[in-house]
Amino acid sequence: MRCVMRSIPVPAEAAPPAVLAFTGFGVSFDTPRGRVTAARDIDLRVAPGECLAVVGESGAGKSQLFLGAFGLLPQNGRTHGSAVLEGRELTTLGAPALTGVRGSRVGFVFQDPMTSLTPHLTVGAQLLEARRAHLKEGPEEARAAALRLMEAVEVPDPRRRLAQYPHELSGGLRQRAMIAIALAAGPALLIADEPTTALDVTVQAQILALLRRLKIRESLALVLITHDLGAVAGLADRVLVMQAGRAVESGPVSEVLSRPREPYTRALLAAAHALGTTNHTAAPSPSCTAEVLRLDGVTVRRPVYEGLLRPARALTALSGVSLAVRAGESVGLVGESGSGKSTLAHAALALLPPAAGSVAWLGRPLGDLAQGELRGLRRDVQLVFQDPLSSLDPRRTVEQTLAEGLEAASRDAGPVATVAELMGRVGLTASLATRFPHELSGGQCQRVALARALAPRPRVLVLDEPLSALDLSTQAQIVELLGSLTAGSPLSLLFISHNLALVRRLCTRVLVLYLGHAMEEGAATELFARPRHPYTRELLLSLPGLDPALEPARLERVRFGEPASPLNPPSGCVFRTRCAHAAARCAAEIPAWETLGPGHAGACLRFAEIP
Amino acid sequence: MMSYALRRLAGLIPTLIVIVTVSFVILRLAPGGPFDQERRLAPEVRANLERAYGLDRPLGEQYLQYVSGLAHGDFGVSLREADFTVGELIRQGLPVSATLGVAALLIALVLGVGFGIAAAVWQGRPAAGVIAGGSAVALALPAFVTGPVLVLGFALHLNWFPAGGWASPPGRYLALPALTLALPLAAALTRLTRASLLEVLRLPSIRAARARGLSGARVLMRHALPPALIPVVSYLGPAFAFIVTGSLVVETVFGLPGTGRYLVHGAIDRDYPLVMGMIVIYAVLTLAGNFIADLLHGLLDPLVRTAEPA
Amino acid sequence: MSGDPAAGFFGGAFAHLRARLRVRFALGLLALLVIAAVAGPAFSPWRFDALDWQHLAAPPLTAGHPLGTDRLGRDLAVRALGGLRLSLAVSVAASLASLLIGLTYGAVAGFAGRRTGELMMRAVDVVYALPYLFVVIILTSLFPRGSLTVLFVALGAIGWLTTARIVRAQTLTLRRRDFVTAARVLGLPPHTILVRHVVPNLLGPVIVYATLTVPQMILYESFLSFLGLGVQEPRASLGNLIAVGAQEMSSAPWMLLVPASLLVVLLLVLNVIGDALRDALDPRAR
Ligand code: SF4
Repeated sequence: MRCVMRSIPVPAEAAPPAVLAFTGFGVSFDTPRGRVTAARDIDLRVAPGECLAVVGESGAGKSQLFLGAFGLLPQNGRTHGSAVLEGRELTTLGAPALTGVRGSRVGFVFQDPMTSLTPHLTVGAQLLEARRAHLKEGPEEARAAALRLMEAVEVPDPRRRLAQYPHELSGGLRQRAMIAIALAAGPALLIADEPTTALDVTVQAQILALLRRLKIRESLALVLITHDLGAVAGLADRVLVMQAGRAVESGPVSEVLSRPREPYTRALLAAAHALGTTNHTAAPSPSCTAEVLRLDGVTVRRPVYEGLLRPARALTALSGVSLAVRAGESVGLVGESGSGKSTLAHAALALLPPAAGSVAWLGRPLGDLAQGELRGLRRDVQLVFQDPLSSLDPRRTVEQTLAEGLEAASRDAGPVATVAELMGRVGLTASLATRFPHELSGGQCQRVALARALAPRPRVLVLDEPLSALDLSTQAQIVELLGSLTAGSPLSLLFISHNLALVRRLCTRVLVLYLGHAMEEGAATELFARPRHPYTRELLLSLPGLDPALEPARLERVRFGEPASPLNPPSGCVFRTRCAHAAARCAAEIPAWETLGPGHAGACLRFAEIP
Repeated sequence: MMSYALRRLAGLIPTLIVIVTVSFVILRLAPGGPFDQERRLAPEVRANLERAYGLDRPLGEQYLQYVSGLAHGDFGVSLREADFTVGELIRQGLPVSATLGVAALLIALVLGVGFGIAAAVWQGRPAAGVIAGGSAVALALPAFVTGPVLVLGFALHLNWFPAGGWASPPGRYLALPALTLALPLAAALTRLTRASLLEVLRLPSIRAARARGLSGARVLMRHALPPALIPVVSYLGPAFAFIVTGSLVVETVFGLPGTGRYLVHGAIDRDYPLVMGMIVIYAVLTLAGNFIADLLHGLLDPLVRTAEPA
Repeated sequence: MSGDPAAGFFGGAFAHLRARLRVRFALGLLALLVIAAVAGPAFSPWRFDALDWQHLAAPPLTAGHPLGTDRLGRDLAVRALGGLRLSLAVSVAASLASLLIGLTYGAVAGFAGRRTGELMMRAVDVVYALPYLFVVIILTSLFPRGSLTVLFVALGAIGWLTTARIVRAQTLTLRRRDFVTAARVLGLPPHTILVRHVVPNLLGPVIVYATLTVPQMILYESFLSFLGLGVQEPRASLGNLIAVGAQEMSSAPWMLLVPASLLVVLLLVLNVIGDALRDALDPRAR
């Protein structure tokens, strides 16, 4: 693999002076069991105004590499080789000088802005502090500079935001504040470590677009560390692929994404494609089969407590949503966090009582059933969770967990599968039967959870973000498994995901939710090809692609905006605070559910007026 | 912040009422009374006494009378030390107990937080091990062991400090009792500070602060310490209760004229007004301690402060 | 992706090894103390209340009295070991009682509705707001003094408060855990879920907490006996031995030092074991 690296020609005359250059650089940790290498023999360079994406799955050592270069490793961390920033060798610089380099010459943006900002200091205090650590200036100039920085990261109403604490900001604003702080002292290099992973899809696109503009406008050298190939195409100029601490492949983004040389890169790309970035394989919806799950105008309110003595306030998590799932059909449920996707799933599973509306399983309304009767019916509708580890009882073996699922089935007459058969169906080897959940990988846990849900032979399987907690290649395997389990079977899926690409691949029909309200519903092919609702269009725009030629233009079209507070929803159309087409009457009238075509409907006052 | 403080303060009053009521009922329901301890009293003498102190009236009436007295700051008259009102007894003893308690609390805070920070910062070095060992031992040293042992060493053998007693101002009389009372608390605070600071130092926000090029001292003091002190501050409530009960022992060991002895003797003698007075005073002090802890918590954690309905 | 799991893990491994040695040592010492307390007095010719007029207030290493005698010539070794046994017995019993009360109360509060649960916990908070030992002092002083039953009830009555809090918090988290929801979705009845999924996951932390309670109880018991509210003469407990020793320390310091060091070693050993158990259970420590 190393020889491949070396064989990539770097034309000397074409290379501008690098801001950051690694030569044979590596990082290791001293442990009681000897030295553990996290990354080795890495060569890379980043020029001003250039973005290098470092891509790899978790554990590839990509973060450690850059933390190590700037002295941010824990005490047992060691670096090897050479790392040069603006002509200065970092590895021999010593701790105090490195402290001076951080912030002033290089800025860092980390994954989760909530935990990476200091919670008890205002955004402004942290911004000024970062500036003052490196620059000498009066308080007036500093304040003006802070405002300028907040404007540079496109934060609306910057003066107010500076006085707020991190928890008072939305996820997107927090990440923008984090970027402003990283840029506070005017560094030449910005290292963004998974900057979009913890964010909603729409916000991800906004942050990527912002980073792109900053790179161009400030001619910033940018290192983007990511596991998400979708983030790469729009932003990166060059790509370095890492696997298990080694550089696997590197080159211009268009080359690596379109003509990968190495098997590992190809596998990564294949996984990304398999997850539906481009192709669409779901079969058309069977329209004549029976309805197995039906929600009619379901409203769910959740109490918000603010103290024992005060009455709870009701938060309307779901507002009059209807949905029908037919046998053998896969219905996707999409929306940002807080859109009510999971609430709908819980209502569909009769885990939450609806405040209005009704739920029916296999044509049988649940409203008038006693708890005992309901329990008898439960096996027909099963659930798979997001976090595979916490969905399994830590004190029970795989076998015990699956036996419990089969127990639910055995009350019905008919042949019951065995634990071994179940494990075989989800692709688990029988030898894992005696393991405990913590002895399994995330993917294996999710297979066990899937097997448990299948054990009582359900008619409907509700999947609540079943892949978000998994690595890319594991995701692809589980998608494959889901596809093979449902192909030609009468099992129906209700698939909840923030990942539109995944929904596009797996589902025949899609329902789009925003702030607990249904926005648009239609056949997947129709909805993705001809979205009518402004919100659906916005969501689709945030869907990343893998084509570096198209991505920058897409990013430029992404609009600023995040969901309104569900405690205090906007009047009229709930989407109007973000809608590009909002008119005066959108604040006054609540849009009605309107049929737009066969199997296609939506709620917008201006369908007729917007093209 | 102001309204937060007022809300918390208002929340304490029902708690206080419950404490007074429950203690009143428990005391009266227990067998025995104030006048059946030593000599047998003639029934009529006893009846006279009970009438004089109002003990013959219905319990509900006595309760209402007591509570209305309390509202005016009247704790009633001690049954056994008939020449004193409970208020006078408390006024005599409280300055001593309060001086002792405050001194001990300060010593414990300074030692505990200081050693805790040191142990966290020096994590992995021998010094941290010494601190961990020392605090483990100090935690297993109850005041009624430390007190006599300190007296044995520093008063009887070395003669550096008086073995007991009190003067005003206390000066050297305060050293051993305050240290005795503070030691286990300091140990608990050391461990708490260390654990909490180590946890905070592992947070992404600390790495992010270092990535901004802030100096190590600044990251520690401004970014790590305030959140790390939140559990320490929450512990101040229990710590206060610990000081209050601990002072009973320390006052006994060192023969200090504080309020501690009133509680024990009052309870044994069924001196209802005295015991009730002590319970009220200590409950108020403990609640005040909790209240201050809550306020400090609000100062350190903006989440608490801003969690008001918009 | 973020953090440095490797470093944290291996850094912890060193400490882990040292901690294991420490725990082995503590366990050995505890076993020794328990055996000595249970069997020790039987090997001595002296009963705990036998007076040896030849040796009044004899220092340690006096013939026949390895740890000396008290003012009345009673063998200090026998009295201290007997006191140790009494302290251990009362505290273990009180810990068990508080475990039982706390487990029941906490689990009920955890499974009851939100409002009932909150009210039940608010009641606990009120008792908490009273300085802990006040309740005990009042209880013990109100009933016949020196009654071990009263002592035991009083200690158990305060110990359950924290257990109840822990159990309720734990129950609430468990109720929200996905695997409990999964069991509901399978249609299992509530009592099956409780027995199969909630209780087993509850037991670990509760048992560990119970071991942490034992040294607390020992401390409270000796505190009360020291104040003269607990075990009464001629019966010996570590607390009342220390109280007597404190009065005699200028002339016979061993009367203080023998029971005091026994108590301190016992507390230290129990604390070390309790801490280790807690660390072992805390997933972050692993
Ligand atoms: S109703 Fe108005 S605000 Fe709502 S989506 Fe349609 S155009 Fe936008």
